Amino acid sequence: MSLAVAVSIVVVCVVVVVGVLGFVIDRHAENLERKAPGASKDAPLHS
Amino acid sequence: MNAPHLHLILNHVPTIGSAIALGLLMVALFRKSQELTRVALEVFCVIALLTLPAFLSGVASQEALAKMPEANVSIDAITKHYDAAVVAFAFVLFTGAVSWLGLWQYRRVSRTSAINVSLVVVLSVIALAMSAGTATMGGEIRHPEMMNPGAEPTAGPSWISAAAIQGLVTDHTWLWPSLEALHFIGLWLLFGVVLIVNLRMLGMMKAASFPSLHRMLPWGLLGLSINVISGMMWVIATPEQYMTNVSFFWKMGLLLLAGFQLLYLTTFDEPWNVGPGDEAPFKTKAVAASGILLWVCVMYFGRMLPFLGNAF
Repeated sequence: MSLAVAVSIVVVCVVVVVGVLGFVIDRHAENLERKAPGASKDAPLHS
Repeated sequence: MNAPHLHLILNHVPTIGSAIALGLLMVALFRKSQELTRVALEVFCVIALLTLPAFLSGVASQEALAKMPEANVSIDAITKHYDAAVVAFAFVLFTGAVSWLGLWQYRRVSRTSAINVSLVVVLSVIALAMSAGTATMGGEIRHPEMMNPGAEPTAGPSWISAAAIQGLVTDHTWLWPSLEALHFIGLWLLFGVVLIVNLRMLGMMKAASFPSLHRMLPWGLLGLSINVISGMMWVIATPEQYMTNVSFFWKMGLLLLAGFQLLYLTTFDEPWNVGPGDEAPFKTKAVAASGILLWVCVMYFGRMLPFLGNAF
């Protein structure tokens, strides 16, 4: 396997893992915001 | 002051700091105080940031001692301390990152998440145990009187070593360029988010509220995580290229300040109150401008590692 292929595989794998993590964090936060009493999307909830 | 002097000043921060933060968090949970929980999470973030210079100054101290055979210290004891420090450093940073996520979430929903706080408790207990063990091994390098007569020195971790990480990076030709590529991906992920959020506070994209942009900050944290992991792998693999490199010390100093700026974005009220069409207060604008400048300087000194510091 050439160096370029090996590097590409590593980079793509890490980017996919980071992308999934970011997506999961964002979904989790959105679910919590939906459940928060009186909450609306992107509205300041804390003062 | 030099790096070994700095290490002597900072080496208690991970242990004592983690103990204080964990104590605060326990009191907060006992009192069911959201405010105190938030303070404890903030302290964990500060400890994680301060552990960066504590670790790096330790690596520099090791490099300095290697050039001083007359110091008459046990290389084996230093190696054990270093191996333990790598593990402790990772756990302290991970605890700080999870704490930051908790603060970010608190900011959005005005309450802490039970899952997040539970994870912080578990991680911080491990981080504290690891830091205390590392500190003990560090003490034993110069203070044999702290051991009981006939007692063996404290054992270091057997499942990981700095030498193994060094071998992994230097013996596999695919790893260094992969880390380079990931470092750049992490950089644009982090800087992209930081730039957009700070530019909003400076008055651009006024139609967007700060809270709507604040939602993207975890992506910046993920970018920072990629860069810290890849960067530390390089430092562990080739410490001689960094520990006498003036550009590296500027980069790390500015990175520390930039980390505090990232903390400001989610812990302080001023930016959060900037709604659609609002003008941010002067103090917030000044912090936003300094944030952009700091990250640009971090990138500059990173690029200048081979030129200003004559490394590589």
